[in-house]
Amino acid sequence: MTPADDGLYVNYLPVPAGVRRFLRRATPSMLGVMLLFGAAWAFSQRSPGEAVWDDGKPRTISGVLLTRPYPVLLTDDGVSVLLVEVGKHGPRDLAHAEGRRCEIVGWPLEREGRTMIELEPGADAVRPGSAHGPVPAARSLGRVALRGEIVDSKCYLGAMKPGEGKTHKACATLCVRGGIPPMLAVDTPGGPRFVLVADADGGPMPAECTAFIAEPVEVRGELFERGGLYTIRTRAADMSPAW
Amino acid sequence: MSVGYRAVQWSRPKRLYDACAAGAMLAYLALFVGAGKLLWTGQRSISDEVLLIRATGSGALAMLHVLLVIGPLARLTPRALPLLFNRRHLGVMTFALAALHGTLVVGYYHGFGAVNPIRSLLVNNTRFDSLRAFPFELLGFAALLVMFVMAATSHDFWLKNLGAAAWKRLHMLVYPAYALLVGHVALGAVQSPRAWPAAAALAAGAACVTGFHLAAGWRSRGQDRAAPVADGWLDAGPAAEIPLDRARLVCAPGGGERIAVFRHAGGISAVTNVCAHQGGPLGEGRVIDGCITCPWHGWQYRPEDGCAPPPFKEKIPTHQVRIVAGRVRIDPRPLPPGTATPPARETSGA
Ligand code: HEM
Ligand code: FES
Repeated sequence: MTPADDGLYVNYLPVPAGVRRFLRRATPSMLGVMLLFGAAWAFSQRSPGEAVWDDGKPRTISGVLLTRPYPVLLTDDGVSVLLVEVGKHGPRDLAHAEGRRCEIVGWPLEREGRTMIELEPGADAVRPGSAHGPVPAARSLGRVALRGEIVDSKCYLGAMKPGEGKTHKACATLCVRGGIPPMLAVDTPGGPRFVLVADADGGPMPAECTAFIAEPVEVRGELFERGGLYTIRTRAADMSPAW
Repeated sequence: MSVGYRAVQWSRPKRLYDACAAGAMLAYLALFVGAGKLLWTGQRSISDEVLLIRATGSGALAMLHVLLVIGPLARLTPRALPLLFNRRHLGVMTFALAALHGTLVVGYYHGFGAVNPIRSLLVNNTRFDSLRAFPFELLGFAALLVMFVMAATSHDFWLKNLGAAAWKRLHMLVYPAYALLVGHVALGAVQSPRAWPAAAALAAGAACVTGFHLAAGWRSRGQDRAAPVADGWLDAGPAAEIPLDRARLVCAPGGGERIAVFRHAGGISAVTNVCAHQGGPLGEGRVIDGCITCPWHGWQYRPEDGCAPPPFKEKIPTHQVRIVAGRVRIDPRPLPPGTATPPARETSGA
C-alpha cells in the first residue's frame, strides 16, 4: 500500500485524494457557518438611539452658570446645557462662577432635545463675567415614582453608543463616580424623558445609589424643574429594582 | 519530530493552514464591522469601538468553537486530521483575538476615568450574589488568563519540560475556559436587549460542541475491545482480523493507557496508544516505511522497539506480545520506553 491510497494524512507526505476532497468541502463549510453566525450576531444588534457628539470645532455659548446638583449653563434662549469634562470626569470646581453670566467653550452632545457641553481642557473654557444673571427658582412638581434606567448622562447623550444597559454598566459606574451627572432615562410615558438624580437636599446623588446604575429601577422622590431641566431628589432607600 | 527546538517549524501545509485561519478571522471581522455599519447609520450609528469589541469577542468565541470541534471531528473521520495537526496555531490566533477584545474593553469601558482601568475592571462591580448584576467581565477575564497560559505553553519546549501528561492536563483547561465564556456571554450580551438571538447562538454553539464530543466518545467506546484477562495477559482477538499496517486498540483492565496492537510486515507488535509528542492516538495511525506513524503530526516509531528512527530520539513504551492459537495476547504491563521486544509471528504460537 502506498501512502497516498489508503487515506491517512501525514503532514510531510502528499495529501491523499480522499482527504483532499474532504478538506475542499469541510473547510469552506466551517468558514460558511462561522460567517453566517457572525452576520446573524451583527444583525441582532439594536439601534443605540439617535444621539450625536459633535467633536469637530468647539463652540462658544453664554448664559448663567448654576452648579447644583450638577453644573449647568442656562442659556439666553432658556435652555439648560449640562457641563462635563473630557473623559469620564464631571466638571471642574465651578463654585466661584455660581449664578454669574459666563462664556463657555466646548463640544456639544445631544440626544432627544437634551444638550450637554464637553468643556475644552484648560482654564479658558469657562470665562465667568462679573454680572450675575437672573436665576429662575426651582419649581416642585410633587412626589413621583419613575421607572427607567440610571445612565451616565455623557455616554447616553452621545459619547458612547450604546450608552446604556448591562454591558455598559461598568463604564456608566466609572463615569458617575468620576462626576458625570447620573440621569434617569425614564420609561414611564407622559412625563419628562430625562431626569437628573440628586440627593434629598438637592446635592449630587449619594454614593449608595451607584449600585442601581444601568439596571431597570424605580425611583421615588420629589420632582423639580428649572430651566427645562428635571431633577428628582431621592435616596437609595427610595430606589428599588424594577426587573 | 525534532532533534533540538526550533522556534516554530514552518512548512508549506502549516503556512497554508495559517493563511486560511488568518483569512477566516479577517473575513469575520470585516463582515461583522461592515454589517454593523450598514445596519445603523447616521445619528443611530453604533460607536466604532463597540463594533470592534463585539466583533473581536464574538469572533474569538466562534474560533474557539472550531478549535473544540476539530478534535472530536478527527476521531470521527481520519480525513479531518489535517485540521488537527496545526491546531495550536489556531489556538494562539484565538487567544490573540480574545486579548484584543479584552484590551479594547479595558481601554474603552474602563479607561478615561478617575480609576486605574485594571482596578476598575477588577473591583468596580462585586455583585457576585446577583445573576442580573453579575460582573460578567470577570468571567471573560478569567477565561482570557487560562487562554494565555495555554497559548504561552503551546510550544514543544513546554511539552517536553512539563511532560506529555501534565501538558495535556493543562491544555484540557480549554473546557473550563469555554464554560467561563458561556457564563461571560450569558450574563453579559444575553442580558442586553438582543437577548434572544444571543441566547440562541450560544445554545447552538454549546449543542454543537457537546454533540461532537458525545459522538466521538460513543465511537471510540465501540473501538475499544474488551480484553478478558488470561494468565495476567490480555486477549486482543484474532491476529488475522487486524488489517495490515493498522492497529487494534486494547483497554488495559483497571485503567492505564490504551494499547495499540499493530500488524505489520514483521509480525504483531504492541505499543502504548499515546504518542510521545502531544499524546496523539497512535492506534489511529498507520505503519509507513516500517514505522508506526502518528496521525496527528507524523512522528514515527519502530514497532519492534518503540524508538523513533535515527537521528530522532523519542521513545514510547512497548508491550510483550504472543500469539496463542491464532489469537493475540498482550502483556498489559508496559516495558520502559524504547525496550525492544520481538514481534509475534502468526506461525510461531499456533
Ligand atoms: C479581560 C477579558 C474580557 C473582558 C473585560 C470582556 C468584556 C466584555 C464586555 C464588556 C462585553 C460587552 C460588549 C458590548 O456589547 O458592549 C463583552 C462581550 C463579549 N465577550 Fe468579552 N471580555 C473579556 C474576554 C473575553 C473572551 C476571552 C472572549 C472569548 C473568547 C469573550 C467573548 C465575548 C463575546 C462573544 C461577547 C459578546 C459580544 C457582543 O456583545 O456582541 N470575551 N466582553
Ligand atoms: S502527537 Fe504529535 S505526532 Fe503524535
